[in-house]
Amino acid sequence: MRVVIAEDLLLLREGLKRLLTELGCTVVAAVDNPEALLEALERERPDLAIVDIRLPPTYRDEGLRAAIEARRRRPGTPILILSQYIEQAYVRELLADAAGGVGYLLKDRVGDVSELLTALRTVAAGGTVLDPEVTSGLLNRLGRTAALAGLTPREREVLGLMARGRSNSAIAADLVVTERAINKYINRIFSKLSLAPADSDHRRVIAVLRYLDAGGRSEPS
Amino acid sequence: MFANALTGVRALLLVLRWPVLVARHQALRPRFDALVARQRRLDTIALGPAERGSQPAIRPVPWLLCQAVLGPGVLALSSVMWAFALVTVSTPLWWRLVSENPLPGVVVMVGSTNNAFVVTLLGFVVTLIAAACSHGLPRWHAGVNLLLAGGLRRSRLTRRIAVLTESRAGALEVQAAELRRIERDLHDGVQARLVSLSMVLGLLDFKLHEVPADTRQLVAHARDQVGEALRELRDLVRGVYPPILADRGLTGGIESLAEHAGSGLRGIAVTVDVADRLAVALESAVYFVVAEALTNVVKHSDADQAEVTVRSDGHRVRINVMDDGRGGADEQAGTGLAGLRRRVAAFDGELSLSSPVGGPTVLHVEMPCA
Repeated sequence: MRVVIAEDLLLLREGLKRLLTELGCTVVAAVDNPEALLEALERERPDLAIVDIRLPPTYRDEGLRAAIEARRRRPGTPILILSQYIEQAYVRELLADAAGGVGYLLKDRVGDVSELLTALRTVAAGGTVLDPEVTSGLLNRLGRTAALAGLTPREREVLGLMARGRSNSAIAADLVVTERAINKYINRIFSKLSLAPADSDHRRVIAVLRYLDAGGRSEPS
Repeated sequence: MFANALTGVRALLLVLRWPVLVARHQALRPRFDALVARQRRLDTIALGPAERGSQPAIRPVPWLLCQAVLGPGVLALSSVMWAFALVTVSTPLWWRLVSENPLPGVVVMVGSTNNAFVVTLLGFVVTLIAAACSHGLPRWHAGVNLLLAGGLRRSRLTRRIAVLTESRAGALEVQAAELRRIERDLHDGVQARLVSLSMVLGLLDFKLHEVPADTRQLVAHARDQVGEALRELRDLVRGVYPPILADRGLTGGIESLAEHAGSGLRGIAVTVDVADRLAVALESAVYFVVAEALTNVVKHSDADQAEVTVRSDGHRVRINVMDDGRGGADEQAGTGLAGLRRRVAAFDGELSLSSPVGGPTVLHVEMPCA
């Protein structure tokens, strides 16, 4: 897998480079600012870009803006955002273009190498990966409302994993059940929440997040 | 000026009669106050209307002595100047008279008629000086009285308040900038190092395929600890200076707060109507006021819905946090509201809380923008 890294801190840039190399990836460019990132994406056309939200010049959300710009120029450019903090507003902006191949994880997650590897592969393959923290907040918020009251704990667990962009087989592996059982869960959840079935994992993520975001009211589709 | 002199004479009389009046048990205060009031009217004529405000207590003895000296003194000085002016200007009139019939005891050193006219010219200068004296001295006298009446103290206090207001605003800005710097340092320093450590541990775990399970468990344990440290650090940073505030301003910050607090409520309606970015210190004060208010709502109110409104017209920023909970919030009960009040007071703001039993609870905060 050919990877571009955009990270302003040398320590983390070099660390990521080493980690990814050990995991069998080829780091084709490691840059420290948004312009260089856009240029590297144009030049290298990598399988994946790992981008820090905070990049120069102002160290605010330049990384996120560069990622959105890159995906505007070439829709579906696979980008995994790494950050020290999760903001729902950033999740919405990142998912707004409705093309797959995006991820948003806390930097903490790089400690779990196999999990990271799964995330890298999912995003590179056009899937969606969201940090557990993104969905746990939303699910908690709806915890007391009637919207989710009809779901069993297991179904809520499946809903959370769906919202994080897990595929059916990944959810099955996580919960140690068969994929057929997961399919059944998902159908039940969709009918209970009156959500229209989605044709891809990414669309499913957007549908579920939108549902959660709207406070448990399904959008007219 | 004559009136001032009269005050002076009366002041002197009052001082002299003081022991007598005390001995006769006669009230001194009304006489003194009448005198002060009279002089204040005169001073107002000289200086224009004085600034309104509480009249500070005047210490009688220095005031009376000052009137006794200044009133007649100013009159005497002006009179002498006018007399001198009159004499010098009129030199040619009496020169001839005096030179022909020298008066005993009067030394005349004019010398000639021409010289007499030169002296007249000098006399005009003296007249100007005399006029300046009679115009300026009563004003100066009134100024001294103002100082005696605490005007000096008041104007010093006014200046001091201006300086303190400015320095407090500066201190708050410096503090906010410091907090932002600390947030940056944590992000680029400790947090980055912990992430890096976590990466190394992850890689170590990945490579330790052949080692016994309990060794790998140790690595996993270490990784968990690092993860915990990062989580705690993240919460800490959010409390020091929330990154979203720098990124997206108040709108983003308040919405993010509502999203985080939302887990305890059915719904939060957020309206942020702030045209320009506020000063960093004020912006983070508004953020933390809303944060604290929402924490209270979630923790104590048992509310379903909450409404947060933040508006600024460029002069004042108004925060309104309302919930449909059970009400009865008691400011004395917890430290949260007292802390809020202090935070708001540091910006010269006002906080009001209405929370009848049964709800709704409304917290209103207003802070000036400048």
